[in-house]
Amino acid sequence: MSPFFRKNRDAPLSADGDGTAQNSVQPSDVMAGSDRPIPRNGIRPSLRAIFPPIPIAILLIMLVIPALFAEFIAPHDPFAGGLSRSLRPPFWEPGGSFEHILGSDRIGRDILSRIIFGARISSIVALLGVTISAFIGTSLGLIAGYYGGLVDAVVMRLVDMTLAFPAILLALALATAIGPTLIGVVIVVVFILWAFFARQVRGEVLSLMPEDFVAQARITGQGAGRIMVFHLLPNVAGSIIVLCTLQFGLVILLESTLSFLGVGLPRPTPAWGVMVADGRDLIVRAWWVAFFPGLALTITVLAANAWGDRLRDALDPRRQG
Amino acid sequence: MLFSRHFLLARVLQALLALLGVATMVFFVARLTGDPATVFLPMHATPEDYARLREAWGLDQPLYVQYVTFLGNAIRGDFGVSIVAPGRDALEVVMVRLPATLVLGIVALTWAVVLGVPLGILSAVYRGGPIDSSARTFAAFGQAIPSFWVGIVLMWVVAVELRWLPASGRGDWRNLVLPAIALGLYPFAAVVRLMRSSMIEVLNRPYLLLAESKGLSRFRVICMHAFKNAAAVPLTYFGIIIGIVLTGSIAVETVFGWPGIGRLAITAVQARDFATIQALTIVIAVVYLSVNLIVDVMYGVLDPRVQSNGGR
Repeated sequence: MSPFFRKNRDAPLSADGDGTAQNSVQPSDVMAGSDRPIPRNGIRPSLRAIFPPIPIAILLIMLVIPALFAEFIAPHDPFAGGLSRSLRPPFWEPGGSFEHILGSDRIGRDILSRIIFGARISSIVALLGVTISAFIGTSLGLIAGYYGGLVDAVVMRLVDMTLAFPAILLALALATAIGPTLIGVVIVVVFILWAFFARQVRGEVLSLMPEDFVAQARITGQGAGRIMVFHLLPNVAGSIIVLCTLQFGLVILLESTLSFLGVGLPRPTPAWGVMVADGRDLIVRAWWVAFFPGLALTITVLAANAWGDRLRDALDPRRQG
Repeated sequence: MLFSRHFLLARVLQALLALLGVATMVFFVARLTGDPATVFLPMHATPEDYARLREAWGLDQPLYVQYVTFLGNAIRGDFGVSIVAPGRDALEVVMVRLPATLVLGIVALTWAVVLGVPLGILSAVYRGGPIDSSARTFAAFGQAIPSFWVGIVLMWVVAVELRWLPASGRGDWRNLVLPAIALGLYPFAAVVRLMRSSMIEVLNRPYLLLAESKGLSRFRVICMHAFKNAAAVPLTYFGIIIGIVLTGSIAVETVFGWPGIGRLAITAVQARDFATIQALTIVIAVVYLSVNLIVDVMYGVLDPRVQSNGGR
């Protein structure tokens, strides 16, 4: 089916190179990323294991469909308000109506419509952040693992420094200097995430280097770039994909926290974090303004994390149960 | 001797290098807009203010001279004059607020570890049982719920509707309960999951069977033998957890009006007070790196193998 789950049947499970830190704790338990490569056993996991029905269904409903078709689904314009419609409660509360199913905010904007458009913002940030990080991290990891020596030492020092750096500081400094922007958020996300990809890929490449297929490729005169892209990359692709899914929820959480703090996406963007911030002072008078965007956020992140966990288990049978 | 001098020295150097990295980042971000003077001065600043700042920070000098000046000033603790607390030294403004944040962070982390470690162990020992499944569900939620939102909901339900605890401010211990719960939820979930998976791994090792066959009680085997080996692993991720607590702390302080550096950070960003942000960034980095250094050294003591290969 895919090139992600092939070869490398007999590769050593550990690629730390020095044999320490042999543990089954996945840092996804804290944050996505791993010292230890995610091993593949050559058995192709079932479609059900790759796409667990419940998390996938939730992600489709909460994220994908609203992000793609926001204009067609949303009952109202997410930016259009009107003070006459200010702070309408959800339909089941006294004074509520089906015009604003989940109520309206201080300036009369429809909460449900803004949540639907918010899914688009979250998806864009998460997709951009994860993709760019995966690209940069994978490239550097391949180069570090392939060349080794000084190149490897420099890349791994950079990884260590990045991991030892609280990203919120960069977010604060950037927002103060250039103001809150989408690009600023993506920069902050990439700034932290690339290191996890680089560490994972580098570790796996190190374990692949002594393999015969690498030597064969060299003997047939293939260049370094060709070996990295056509021979090493397909072998690490599976764990890159697992890492991507594991970090997806984390990025959504990070973006919303930054937006809530006013150092992420600027107002009046319908980002979930911005919406919670809008409703913060209203929680006593109009709880729905802050409550529903936060609930949408929690459900989405829960589903994304569950998918990442399942996918990792599917590719690593030792961890099942 | 518990750890080699070389190991400790390498760790301290690494932390100092990281601190230099943070300082360098701050330096360049301040210059992203072209003229750093506009970032450091309030909007109503006079041309004389600009001239004075340019003089003091050497802003008319070449970039590398500016960089050296900046590092020199940073070492002496001079980050410029605060805008949010007009006329006061930026570092002083930050240091006054630091204790409140430390108290909140320590209380949140303490409950997360004190409850999370036993729950993780129980979850691993009774794997597949009701304790395990509820612990895992709880942990999954703990890692998905944003701390700022949980703070708002707690404030609404517990403080406003039920009137059990005060909603905001800083007075006695009651003001601390809700922010500490909101902030500790994520580290709690992380500790449970890490402890559980690390314990499961250790429980399968043959030396535990040996300990048990020598007639030690199961309780003793788990607490003395398994725990000691399993605890080293969650410790390695403690640095990452602290980074997340730091971000969460800024959000939670904002929600509860807790007068720490988190709330100061947001006020400073809104006022575009780069001097304060600069001081704050360095102070947070120093705290963060010191904690990481302590954790690293503890890890080296728990697992001496780490020391011999530089902790990689």
